[in-house]
This record gives sequence, structure tokens and C-alpha cells, in this order.
Amino acid sequence: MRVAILTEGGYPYARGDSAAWCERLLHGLGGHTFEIHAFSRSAHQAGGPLRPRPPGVVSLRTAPLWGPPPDPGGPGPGRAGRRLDRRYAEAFAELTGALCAPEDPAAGPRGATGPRRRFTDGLYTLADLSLDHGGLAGWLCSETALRVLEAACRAPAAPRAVRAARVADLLVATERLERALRPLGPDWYRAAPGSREDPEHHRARGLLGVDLCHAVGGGPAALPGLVAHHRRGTPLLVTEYGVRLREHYLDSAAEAARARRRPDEARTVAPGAAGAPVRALLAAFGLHLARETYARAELVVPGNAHARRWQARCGAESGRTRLVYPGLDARPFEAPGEAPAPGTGSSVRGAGGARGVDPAADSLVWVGRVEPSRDLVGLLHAFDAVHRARPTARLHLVADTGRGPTDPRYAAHCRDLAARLFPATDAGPAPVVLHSIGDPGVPGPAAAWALGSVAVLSSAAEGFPIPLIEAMFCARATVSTDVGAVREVIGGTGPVVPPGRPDALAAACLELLADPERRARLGAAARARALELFTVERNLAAFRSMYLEMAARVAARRAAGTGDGTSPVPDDPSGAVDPVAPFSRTPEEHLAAIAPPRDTAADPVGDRPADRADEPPVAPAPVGAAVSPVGGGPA
Amino acid sequence: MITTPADPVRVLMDRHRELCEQAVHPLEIAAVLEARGLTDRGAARYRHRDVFSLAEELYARVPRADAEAVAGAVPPPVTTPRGIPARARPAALWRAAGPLLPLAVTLAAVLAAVRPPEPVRPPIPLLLPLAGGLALLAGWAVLRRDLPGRAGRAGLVAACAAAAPLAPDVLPGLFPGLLPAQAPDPARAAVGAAVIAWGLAVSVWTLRAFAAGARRAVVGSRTLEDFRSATRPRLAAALALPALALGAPLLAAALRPGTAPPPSALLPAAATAFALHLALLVAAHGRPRRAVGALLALPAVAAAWWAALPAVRPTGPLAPYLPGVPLPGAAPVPDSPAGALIGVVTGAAVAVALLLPAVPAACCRAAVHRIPAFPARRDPEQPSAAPAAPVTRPPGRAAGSSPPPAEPPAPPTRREQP
Repeated sequence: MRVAILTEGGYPYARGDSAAWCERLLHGLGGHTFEIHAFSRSAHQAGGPLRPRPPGVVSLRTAPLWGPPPDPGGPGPGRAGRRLDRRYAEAFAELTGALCAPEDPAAGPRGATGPRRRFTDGLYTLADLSLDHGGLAGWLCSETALRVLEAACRAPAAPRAVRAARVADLLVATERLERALRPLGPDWYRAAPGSREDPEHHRARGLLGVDLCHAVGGGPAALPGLVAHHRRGTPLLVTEYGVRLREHYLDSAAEAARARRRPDEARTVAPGAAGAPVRALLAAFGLHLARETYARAELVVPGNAHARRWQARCGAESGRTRLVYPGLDARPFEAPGEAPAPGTGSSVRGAGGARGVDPAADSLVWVGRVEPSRDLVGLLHAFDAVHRARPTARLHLVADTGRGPTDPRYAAHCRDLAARLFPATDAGPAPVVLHSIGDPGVPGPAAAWALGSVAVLSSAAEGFPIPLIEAMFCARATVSTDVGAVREVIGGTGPVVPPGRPDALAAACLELLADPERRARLGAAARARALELFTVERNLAAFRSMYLEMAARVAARRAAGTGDGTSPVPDDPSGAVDPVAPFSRTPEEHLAAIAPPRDTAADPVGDRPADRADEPPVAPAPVGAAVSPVGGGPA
Repeated sequence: MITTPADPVRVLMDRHRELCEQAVHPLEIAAVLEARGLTDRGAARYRHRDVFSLAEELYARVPRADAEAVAGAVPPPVTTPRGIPARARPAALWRAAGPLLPLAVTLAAVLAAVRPPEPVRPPIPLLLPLAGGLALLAGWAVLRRDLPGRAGRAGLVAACAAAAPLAPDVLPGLFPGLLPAQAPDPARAAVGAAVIAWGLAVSVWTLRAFAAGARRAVVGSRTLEDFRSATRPRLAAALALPALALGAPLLAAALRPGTAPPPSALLPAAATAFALHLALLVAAHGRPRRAVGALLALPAVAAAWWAALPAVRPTGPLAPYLPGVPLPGAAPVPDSPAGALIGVVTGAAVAVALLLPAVPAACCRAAVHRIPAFPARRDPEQPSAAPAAPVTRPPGRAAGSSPPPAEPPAPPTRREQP
């Protein structure tokens, strides 16, 4: 099957979101052909390194979702240009009219009339015009777009925040909407022009030629998938580990707080900042887009129950939602996980410990990214209480820099606090030890967790706590705060305390430190649970079966001739796209297409059994004009 | 046992008042409340099923903070801090005086050609390309700062086109037979070049002032119509000021005849400089092609005039002013507005006629007066996070061929990495 992976600020960029997960997926799902389409979020990211390309990836195309529009030219001069300009204006008026509509889009079932219908009509008309004629980005920067947006904002029923829009707001709003709609522009939908020696199946077919679109994240990443679904009925699979809409709202609130905190600066230096009207417009756009994505997606795959709740809130039907936990490679944690728990008699490692006891047995350990939301201050206060009750106890704080940069100011603050709470004395080792992964004694997370017998998670806010899963793999008893998906991950294999209550945290820690048996029991249960739920293998198996299920479903629907309500638009007149609909070709047809032997000795396809001929050989794609600018693939 | 207050949500409202006032959707409040540690179990304490419904109540109960904006209150105008810090003063001075650079180069070249005594005077064939190249570089340095990207390139081409009619005066061998009655006159070319360079400087200053005024108008106006009516007088000033600055020397020369430079050298140069100003104005506001096209018409019309006139034997009342017609009793006067000069003036008039209608349409659009985005959004951690990459990457096709330096990076992500 030919799968288009759509990412935004994600996979091929080495520091992108979910990049490791996505790479594992590409490596693990052999037998499919992948075309990767990636948006970069910033100049910093676009200029950064890329992950090496796994076999099976035929092409990689990237586009920036930042900076000025890629093609500033508008619809062009002349009569045709003016007509296109008018059609763009009509479609954009529909779209903005929906964004400025007072009615909450939550009202009304799927396909109902009203703002939702207007939004989708406008969006898909813009997409069609952009695909067929181009020039959308330039048009959105034009005066006509400003006028259309102004008219929509001044509509009598528009919300107050939007009606207050001034010229500066209109300018910023069109700029941001241009970026939001940029996924309609890139030349991804057409097949890549292949060179003559390029075998047909090695060439990127473009989004309109793939069998399945897999969007990693909603929002801008899913937009090309929606367009492919609209044009060709290509099924769409949406995976979200953090809900994109929620991130949008968080950014929006942060922007408002920044503008408020520094009103002088906001007025003098930054009139380009988004005011309330812009935020209202973009929030409406994000919400409409999320609803449309969840409504059109064949399957919605949240990574945790929290994400599922948000998706359900935005209209994802429970029948098409599959919860798949992100997988973690369990192998590095094999050694500490299978070793007997520290402090249970047989595990005394001797030499290093005071009074002959394994030092890890009396230690708490925290691993994670040092930032305010992790509430290390609360943890230090809690440990102060622990230390007073149990003077031999120690706390290891391990900064995991691989998970994101450390907040230097917060780190300094924590260091100061630790020095104040636990002044250095000559008697024995310091009770609080700061490490960083990569230090001589702590080569990786597994070694970090092995420093203690009780893992602590003190976050005040948390999404899906990966460190907690690592601790579970290491068979450590955990004490965590009740935030985010913690309860769902931990599932009763460790005490959970309310966030922001150091006393409760301290009490739970003391209880576990005093009871090695219970610690061992909880640790073993945690490891068993993690091995059951959070392994890579399980994650891959889930996606493998989902791909097949979608293939089967779509094929069955096609055979029944019902369609799914959106009749595929006739193929584009340019003929650049393979006119064959997804899944309508039999493997034999593929075989016939590639059978004429060009170079029989080197042709690996000839040796393949017929039932596998649908899948192109997983050899590195020849570097050609079609294939992206990534450095050479696997060398 | 803590007794719950009668209205538990009020406590939450007071604690998160700012958030609730600024929120544009209940889901925004829900997202932030979750980020601040509130869970569905926490929401139960406020007698709500989940965070979403709690956020809806908060959104409904707290009035939005945009009330005064709806009332139509104009925000205070953009004010730049008074008093430039001492360290920034040379930079500000340099920026203000920068547009004079081409003029300085031109004057220096003229002085070098005239002032030194014969033995050390640099030969013209050496001086001319040097001065021309330097002036070009200076023009580029000035333009690329105020007209970024395509507009700057268009402006440079326009400036070259404006200076092209000066060539026959200093390069007589270049156009043999083209200028039958026109004796090459390097002095006239020097005056012309100086006037055009002066016009460029005035034009760049005007562009800056107009851009700043338009920016104030963007912030200060509520509707697009307001903006247009606020911009029109500014545009009129942006046309009148350079006209005055270029007309003043002409007027002075006309009032005090006999003093150098002669009006015959000043008039075509001033007309050309004004056409160049219009071209820069149009190019800076999103119509670079139109600017280049109109300014290329200038040398084209002048050349056509020169080429056509010798073929046509002119008669009638205009004849004394036309080249190549030695009339009995009327010796050719080099300082009369005759000959080739008429060609240049005609060309400039054509260019102005082509550009003038486009000026209001191009410059009064709000879309071309975008204000650069928030500089404070730059994440200070970002550069330090740049990893030393083992993977080299050739410049991407779609990665943006010319990313702007002023672009803020995307906000820090809160997405978890599985």
C-alpha cells in the first residue's frame, strides 16, 4: 500500500515532535511504501538536521509553515486573473463568514447546514482553485482578501471580539490565515516529475495518488489529507499524541498573557502581535478544521485518554476512535527491570553504601526535563519532609536533556533551593544529588532510574508522562501526582497524590521507602503493566492492523458502490495523476506494468512472487528531481 | 472538614480572571486550566462533570476584556521612545545619511576629474567605469536596505535606466552617428548624475517617511476606508516634497541665469529623477514590474527620438529647437534646452505618465503596509538547542529559498514526544 505520511514540525526533522515514534513506525511497517510530506515550523527547524531515511520511503517533500508566502504572485493579470480573483474572494467570503458566525459550531450534527457547512464549502473551494490555478498565497496577501475579511468581521451577527477588529488586526489575521491555509498550496498533490530511468513505482505519486493519508497530528498536517479525501476519497488516518487544537489554544492564551504583561511593548514595538480579534478568528479556524478533520477521518487515533477526550469534545465519533498508547523500546530497561529490586535482601551491592546497605534502596529518583511545569520546587520541599523523618534518604534529580532543553533559570532556582534546604555538611554524602543524563555515572535513562528504589513524578501539569513509563519498565515503584494521563498510565501500580501538595507526596514516599516488600511488589506489577501496554511491538501491531483494516474497509465500500458521501472529483485535467483510484488495481496489473524488462539482471521485482508485486522493493530511491532534497538517503 | 463555599466557581473565577477575560473560546480556558493542573476530578469540586463544562461556565460568567475596543476607542498612537541611546546614535546617523552615498560618490568623481592638476589627474577612461561601478554599489547599498527583495532589485534597474541617457555625453564613441548635432558634454553628464543621485536620496527619505506614516495609519484606523483616507494626504506629500526638492535648483538656475549649472542640464535630470522617485514608490509597494517597465521606457523614448530626428527634416516653428538643423544666423547654443535634452524630457514625461496612475492604487492599499511580526516571540532557548548535526543537508527546494531574518520562530511546542 502506498501511504502518505503528513507531519507538521515533526518526523524528518531530528528534533521534531514524535520524530522517534514516526521513525520507528516507518521502520516497523515493512511492506508499505511511504511518501513523506512534512511542514517545518520555523527557520531553526527547517535548517536543522534530518533523520536518516528508512527504506521504504520513496520520497520526502518539505514546505515551510513560517516566513513569507512561498509564491507572492497572486492570480495574475488579465481577464482570467480577475475571474480567479473573484472566485477566490467568493470562497474566502464563505470561509471567513463561517469563522465570524456567532453560532457555536458544536451545534448541529454532521453535515448540517450553517457555519460548518460554509466553512467546508469555502475551504474545499479554495483548495480546488489553488490546486487547479495556484496563486492562493499571493491572493491572501492582497487587498481583496483584506476587504473580504473586513466585510465578514463587520457582519451584524459577528462576535464582539471579531467586530472590534481594526486594520492592524485584519493585516495580522490575513497573514496568519495565509499560513494556516498554506497546506493547500504546495505542489504535493501532483506526481513528481520522474526521470526516465526512474521506475514508475519509485516515483512520488503525490497526495492524490496514494492509497492512504496518515496525518501525524491534526491541524495543518491533516489539511492536505482532507484535500486528498475531498478530491479522491483517499482515506485519512489521524494520529494525535498531543491534540493540536489544544496546543493552539495554549499558544493563544500565552500570546494574550504576553501582550497584557507588557502593554507598553505590545503597543510600541509589536503592533503586529495578535490581538483578541485575530486570536478569535484563528481559534475559530482551528476549531472548524479540527471538527472537519475528525468528521472526515476514517480512523482517529489518540495516544492517551486525555487526547481522546479532547477529540470527542471536537466531534470525533467513538466508533472511529482507537486508543493506541505510544510505544517505548523496552530493551534498554531490561537490566534494571529484571534485576532484583534494591533493598530486598539479596540485592545489597555493598561497597558504595553507607553502613553496608545498597544506597539505591534508600533513594528517591526523579528523571525528566527541568522546567517549571515539573514542579521540582514542590519535590524539594517534599523531600525536606522525607529527609527530616528519614535522615539516610537521598534524592537524585536527573535532568534528561534528550527530552528537550533545560530551562536554565528554573534549574538555577532549584539548585539554590536545594543548597538552602540541605546545606552542605561534612557528615556523609549530600542528600540531594543533581545529575544529567550523559554524566559518567548516568549514561542513559535506565541507569538514571537505577539510582533509586522509588521513582517520583512531581509534575504540576503533564501530558503523557514518558518518564513514568520508563520507571515502570525499570520495575521501580512510583509516586506520582494526579495530572494529565498519569492515572491512566500508572493504573494502580503506585500511589497517586494530588498535585501541589508536598506533604502528601512526602508521606507517600516515606511509606514506600519504609516498606521494601511493597515496593518490590508494586515495581513488578508496574513492569508487567508497561510490558503489556507500552511496548513498541504493541504500538506497531496496532498500526499494522489499522492500515489493513482501512484498506479493507475502503475496498469493501468501493465494491458496494456506496461511496462515503463524497464522490471523488473527476481526475484533474493535467493527467499528471494516476487516474486509477486507490485499491482498484490488482497486483497483476502492477506486475504487468513493470514486467517489460529493462535490465533483467538488476531488476529485483522480477524475482518477487506475484502477491507481493504490489509492494515496491524497499531499496533506496534513486536521487532524482522527484525525490526530495534530503541528503542522499541511506548511503 | 473544609466547608465548600456557596459559589465555588467564584474562587476559581477570581484566581483565573485574567485568563477568562482574554479567552476567545471556552476551550481556551479549558486548555489553560488543564495546563495549570486542573483535572476532571478537580472540576468535580466545582460541581462540574469535566473541565470543559467548568470552562464554559467561566467563559460565560466573566465579561470579555474587549469592551472598550468595541466602543471604538482608538488605541494611543504608536510612540517610539524619545531620545536615542548614545550607542545607537552613530547607527541612526548613518542610516539617515546613508541615501546620500551615491551623491557623494558622484561628486567625488567629478572633483577627481576636474580638480587635480594635469599630471596627476586620473584619465577619464579609468575614472568613468570606476565611478560608475562605485555609484552602482552605493545605490544598491541604499536600496537593499529600504526596499528589500524584488523591490530593491527593481529599484536598481530603474536607477540604471534613469542614468542611461547620460551615457552619450561621456561616451561619445559609443553611439557614432546617433547624435549628429549634439556635442558630447561631460560637464552636463556630471550635473545630470548629481541631480539623479540627489533625487535618489530624497526619494529614499520620502519613502521612509511615507512608510512610517502609513504604519501609524494602520495602527490608528479602524476600517480600510479610514486607512485609505488617512494615507491619501501623506501620499500627496510624498509626491510634492521630492518635486520641490528637485525643482528648487531648477528655479534657482532660472532666476539667476549665467550661474552654473545651466537649466538645459538640470531640466532633463530633474524630470528623470522625479520619474525614478515614482518608480521607487511603486516598486516599494508591490509593483516592481510596473516600475521597471516604465523606467525602461525612458531611455527607449529618448533613443527613439535621437534616432528619428536626423531622418526627419523638421520645419516650422519648432525647428530652431531641434537638432541637426543649422539655420542661417542661428548658431547652435549649447545651453539652450535643445537637442538630445528634449528626448530625455519626453522620455521622463512618458515614464511619469505611465507611473502616476499606479501610484495611489499601489500605495494606498493596507495590504502593502504590513507591520513586521512580534520580535519578542523569539525563544531565547532556541539557538542554544541547535545540535551539532552529523547529518548534512543540502539546501532544500521547499525549505524556503530566502528565509527572512526577522521571522520569529514558531512558539515552543508543548507536544509530548512518545
